[in-house]
Amino acid sequence: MENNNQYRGVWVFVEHKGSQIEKCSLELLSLGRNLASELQVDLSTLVIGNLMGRLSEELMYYGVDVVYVVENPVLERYTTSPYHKITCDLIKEYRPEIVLFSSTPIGMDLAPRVACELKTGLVAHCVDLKIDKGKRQLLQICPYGDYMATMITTVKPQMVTVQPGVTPLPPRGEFKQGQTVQIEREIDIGNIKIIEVVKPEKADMGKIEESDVIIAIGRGVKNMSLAEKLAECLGGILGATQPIVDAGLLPESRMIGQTGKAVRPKVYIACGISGAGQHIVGMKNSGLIVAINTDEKAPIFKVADYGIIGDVSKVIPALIAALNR
Amino acid sequence: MTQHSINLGIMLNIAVCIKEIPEEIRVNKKTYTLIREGIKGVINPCDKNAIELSVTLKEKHGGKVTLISMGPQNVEKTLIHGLAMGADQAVFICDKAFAGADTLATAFTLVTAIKKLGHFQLILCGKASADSGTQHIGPQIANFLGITQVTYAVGLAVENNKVRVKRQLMDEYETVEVEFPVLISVVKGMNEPRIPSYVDIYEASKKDFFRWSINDLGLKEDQVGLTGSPTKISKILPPETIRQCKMLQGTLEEICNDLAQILKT
Ligand SMILES: Cc1cc2nc3c(=O)[nH]c(=O)nc-3n(C[C@H](O)[C@H](O)[C@H](O)COP(=O)(O)OP(=O)(O)OC[C@H]3O[C@@H](n4cnc5c(N)ncnc54)[C@H](O)[C@@H]3O)c2cc1C
Ligand SMILES: Nc1ncnc2c1ncn2[C@@H]1O[C@H](COP(=O)(O)O)[C@@H](O)[C@H]1O
Repeated sequence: MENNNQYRGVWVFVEHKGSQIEKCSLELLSLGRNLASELQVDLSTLVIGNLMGRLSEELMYYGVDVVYVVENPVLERYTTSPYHKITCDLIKEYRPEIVLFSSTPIGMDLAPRVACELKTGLVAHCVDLKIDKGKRQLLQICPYGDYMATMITTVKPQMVTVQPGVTPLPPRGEFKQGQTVQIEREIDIGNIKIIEVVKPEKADMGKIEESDVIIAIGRGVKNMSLAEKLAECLGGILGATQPIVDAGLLPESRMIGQTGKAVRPKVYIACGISGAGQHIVGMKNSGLIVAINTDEKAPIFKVADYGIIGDVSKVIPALIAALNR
Repeated sequence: MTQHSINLGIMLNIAVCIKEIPEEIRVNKKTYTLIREGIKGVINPCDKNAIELSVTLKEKHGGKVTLISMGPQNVEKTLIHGLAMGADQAVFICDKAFAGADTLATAFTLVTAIKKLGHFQLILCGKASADSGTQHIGPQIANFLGITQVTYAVGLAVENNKVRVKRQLMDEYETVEVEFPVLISVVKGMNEPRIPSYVDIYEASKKDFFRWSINDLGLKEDQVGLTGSPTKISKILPPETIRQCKMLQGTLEEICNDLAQILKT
């Protein structure tokens, strides 16, 4: 068996688009910085792409100690094989004890395969990470039904994917720090060929993240048009829990939570929503949170500022009337 | 077993990994495990799309479809449903030694069964299971087999021994071309899963159905289940109270007036 103590340091896999660092990767830097400080080790980032110079410089304003860069024109766009090979090779070579990815299509395509190759565990969709200092162990916190589970990985490196949108962005420092390490690799692009990439012209795209007011509906809402009227009245937009989207009542782009989106509007009104962990991770950072539910014990009230115990089909019309007065 | 022949088109040997999930997801407040007793088991939604895809491909190109499922209890009904949709044979992997498996141990066990079954050009699975939802199993099966993976498929066509897959990403669609063998994970709603008739279900119960234990797979206890899993649950807690909730009191009208005031400021 390998000695787990040979592993040192925290790594972040950086995603980017059009030479911009993705927001989810910046969020990982804020988590990574805390972990690295607690463990008193370096925070490093892995950047794979083409012409990554400016981006690597930019990373150095976020408390990164080392930026590992692998550049090649064939790496311009993510494909599994070469990214997987490079990531595995570098982890084997540099032996970080913790590696962070985002729960994004790229992170979820790459991280499980990397973990499998390295014969280590992977904890999905974490919402928080802590260190058990005594045991030098990463505590990986993720939703588990109505509960929160703390997971551990007994093998190194400890790997997680982190839910985007739940961690605050780190401050950008005034000065650069750290160093860049350019890595040369032979690259085998494997047998996947990208034929085309198209952006769908979906009018709904992105809307829910930008809205200041979200009226979120759950299984307790039987009459959608009422909720729609309330949204109209407050200049907001409808969001939903997974069962509502699964029932086809609203498009997938409106789902809030682990499988859906993380949102932080100024006002979030939860109508007939129980407040499962997987939903809460997507909305707990909203400004003002109001919950309407018939069940006073519903966990949604634990994250709300104001609560109304009542039937949505009565409360919503009365609220609309009050708003119009 | 059928293999592809370059000139006469292809005969596809397809494996589909399917998972049975409880219809309702509830956690036992004492043991903190998922409650399965008394809750109906159903096929994980996107796995139905994977079965539909396999059967459509078989109808078009010829070939054979094998369903593989690992589960803690009798998932026979789920597998029979898949057979009734048009799959040819089913393998059910079950042994108490597999209990507590994390995704790595689950993928490893599934791959052992896949290898025992022979060579597949195409392995299909769903994007995510509705009860654990890790999205890990597909890429991990592909890695164990050392084959290419394509995740998030919403469309697929086989032409000249190559597969063209349309993938749904965050805010774009990517079309890729790959060669066999390949693992593809599919997104819910990529097709309309057929609903088998009573006759289909009756006929399905006559198809080949294998039950494999840890011995049938030639595995040792420390390679599977909880002992073979690098990730462990350390603690389960109820969610924290994040905000102090003020319950609005009074008549419905008073409550709504109060809330309206709060919302207006
Ligand atoms: C891997 C995984 C990922 C998931 N991802 C997500 C996700 O991204 N987003 C998500 O939302 N869920 C997700 N879920 C599902 C999640 O666990 C819950 O099942 C879901 O959020 C529950 O939705 P709900 O609150 O609408 O329904 P329920 O839990 O059924 O709650 C309905 C609530 O309405 C109340 N109610 C009933 N009638 C009325 C009435 N007339 N007036 C007022 N209140 C009423 C009830 O008291 C109850 O609290 C995921 C689950 C898993 C396993
Ligand atoms: N126990 C299992 N048996 C067979 N297939 C599985 C099993 N668990 C997961 N899968 C497959 O892997 C996909 C992703 O599951 P998950 O990684 O749990 O989100 C599912 O849609 C299934 O196709």
